[in-house]
Amino acid sequence: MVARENEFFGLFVEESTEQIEKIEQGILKLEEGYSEETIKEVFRMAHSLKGSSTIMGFAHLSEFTHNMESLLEKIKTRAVPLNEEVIDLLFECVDKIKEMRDNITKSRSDEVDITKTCEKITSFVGKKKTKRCSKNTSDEFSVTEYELLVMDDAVRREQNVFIIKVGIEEDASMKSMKAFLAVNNLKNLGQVLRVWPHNYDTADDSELNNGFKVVLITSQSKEKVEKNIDAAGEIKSIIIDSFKGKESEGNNIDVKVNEKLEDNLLFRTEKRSYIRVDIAKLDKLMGFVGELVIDNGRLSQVAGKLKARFKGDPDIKELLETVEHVDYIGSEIQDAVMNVRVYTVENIFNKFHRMIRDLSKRSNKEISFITEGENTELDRGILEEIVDPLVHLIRNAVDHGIETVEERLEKGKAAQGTINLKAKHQENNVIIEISDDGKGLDINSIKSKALEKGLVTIDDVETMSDQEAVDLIFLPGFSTAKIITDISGRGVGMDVVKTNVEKMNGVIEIETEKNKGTRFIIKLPLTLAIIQVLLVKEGNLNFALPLSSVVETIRLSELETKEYIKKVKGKKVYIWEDQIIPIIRLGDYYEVKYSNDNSKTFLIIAGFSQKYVCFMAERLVGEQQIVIKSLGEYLGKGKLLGEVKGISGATILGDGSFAYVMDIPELLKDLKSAEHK
Amino acid sequence: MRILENLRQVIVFSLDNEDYGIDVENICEVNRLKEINIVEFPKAPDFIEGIINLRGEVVPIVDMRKRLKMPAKERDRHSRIIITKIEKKTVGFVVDKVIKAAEFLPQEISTSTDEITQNGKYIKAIAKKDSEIIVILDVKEIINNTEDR
Repeated sequence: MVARENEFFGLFVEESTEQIEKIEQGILKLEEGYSEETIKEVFRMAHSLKGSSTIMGFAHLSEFTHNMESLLEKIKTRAVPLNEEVIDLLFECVDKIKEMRDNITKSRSDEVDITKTCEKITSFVGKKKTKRCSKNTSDEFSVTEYELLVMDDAVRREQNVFIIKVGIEEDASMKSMKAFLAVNNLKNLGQVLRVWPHNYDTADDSELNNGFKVVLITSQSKEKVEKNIDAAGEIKSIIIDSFKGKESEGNNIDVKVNEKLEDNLLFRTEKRSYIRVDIAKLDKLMGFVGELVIDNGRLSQVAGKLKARFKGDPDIKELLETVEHVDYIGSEIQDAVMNVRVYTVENIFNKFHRMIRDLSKRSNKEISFITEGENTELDRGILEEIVDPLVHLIRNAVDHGIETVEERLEKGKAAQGTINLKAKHQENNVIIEISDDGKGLDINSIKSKALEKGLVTIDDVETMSDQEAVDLIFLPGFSTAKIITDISGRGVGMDVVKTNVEKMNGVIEIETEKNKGTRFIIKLPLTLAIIQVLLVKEGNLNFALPLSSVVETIRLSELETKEYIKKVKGKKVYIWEDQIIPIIRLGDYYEVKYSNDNSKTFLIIAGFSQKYVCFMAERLVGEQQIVIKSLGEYLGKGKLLGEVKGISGATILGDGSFAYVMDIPELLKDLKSAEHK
Repeated sequence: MRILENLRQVIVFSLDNEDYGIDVENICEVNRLKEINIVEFPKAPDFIEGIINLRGEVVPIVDMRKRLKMPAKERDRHSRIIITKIEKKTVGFVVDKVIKAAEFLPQEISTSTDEITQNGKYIKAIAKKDSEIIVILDVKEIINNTEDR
């Protein structure tokens, strides 16, 4: 029992988080202007939140969302203007709901001080209507425009359109049962367009005290209809009115279109169904699919060999066809599973609208926040990991990037600053860009800051390129903020951003120009589980370089080798497009025996942010997709395999052999620290 | 029945002509050496033989002699790899020879290892039965406590 309860609880927390998010997004939209659609959406979310919290027994949350609904209803009917004060109040409501949700998650209690917020709501809504179920007392009919059209059309086809009010005996028990039977009987006579209340078949007896109402389109007579309703039993009264068409004056009944918001909304819930799955199960599935893809590769290889050996054998043809089909199915499954794990970045982008709104209000800056490419899809695991770095970068953009209005006007810029958040696909990567049109990074102040903190020497600073200077902000212990403000966070530096991005096999770069702005470019793989690598062989070992960090592969002839490979201070370097890049012989770095063949040389340029390294190995094997097996349990200081720099894991190749997956950022760091020693 | 419950089951193997044991609950399987392709692991400590592909899982292989600072010995047809699993870590150990599975009563086991100076921290207990003395190794310590080398 407890386990099931916990399961429901988990579902509740997750669902409510989604609903709260949607409410918040809706309010952000409303801030831009009144939209009936959006209010309906927000209302629907608040309503389902109310429902689920009632079921879970969180009375405070349920009551509070009910209050919020009342406010929304007033806004919808324009009884309450949608001004800044009201928007702020709506945000306050969301914050309170979040607070309750957090309390519920932590301690299963939804008690939060909401009196002030409720008072504010009451000041707009008025005191009454704190109790529910008064909503069905209204005698008015309301239908949607569509329904009105249907009714009108039916009249034109000379059908009877009846608007029926049915009263049930007051002392009848299980009134919903009576209502259900009556409506069911009516369905046999024609089309039941609408029933009030919508939950007539499940409603409490108290809700059906005033009976129920039906719109029926039928070719049958009033008498027949009456009989059918009466058959349900314990019916007190039946009033049948005819609808004569919407233009007709003969309507003795007042049909209002779309008057009662709530009822309409509840009719229109989405029909698509979803299930919630533990992400760990998907991870497991993903792992198996990875294995399958690799085994398929192995199968194809063997089949190819057999084909050469037994050419013309009829079984071989079948084998090849089957292998090909299995291969196809395998890649389809891989796509499908990856697709399940994939989310659009919209989910996280939307969070930032609210954040920027609050931040800019607090810092007295005017900022327009523009997002692009919300439909770009990314693995859920990566999506979760990227939120924190993005929060940090966006906070920085607001806090340090965009200037105050006065500063901007002085510089001849538009008063309103702009922050752009963009996502797009590029080959096997997703690129996320954050750019602002603020003051840009001040290279000199970065240099002096780094000096002051003892992160670099005077010599370093003097020989440093601008790009290298900019990259200093990624060093641990560097932070340009003079005072740690509430906005730009609690001492978490850019180095954490960089580490987080690199953990996902991603890359981060900065472009900046004084008084023009700054752009951060984050390049991420599509998925964490399967990565695209370049395989190279050195001695008996295979090494896999993630393609995300490979810039170029070069094959040099003996002559070219002499021309482009030089020795500087006893170390080999490669001259590449006017740059001098250190050469790392994989065999030397990893202490592996290799054969030295001077007639051909393979070079792989890897790295990023103008920091490159050139690997040299015996043989280039080719590009391949691999499933990385983490060696985290074994690798590291004091662990079994020790601290081996530049290896993040291993992978099993098609022929069953291993390749070591290289961690290039880590290796670059190691080289750098070796240089300093 | 009561006695059976208290029996300690140990896989007994030899290293440098001495008998050692590992508790059965830590052991997954025992493999012949020649059936397994061990790939060297770059820059790893010297007691690491390499890694193997055990049905899709990457498993590091430790030379138990080297790990316990014993003289090296050439592999022969008796050499075996004992695959152990502790705290999600699967590790294989190369030993000279696997002798048998043995069972010991509680009174046959002493957990005081004070008298042993060499490799003392890697020893969990000592089992004595008749003239046999079997040193039961602490695989967890052997895997995790690799700082002193």
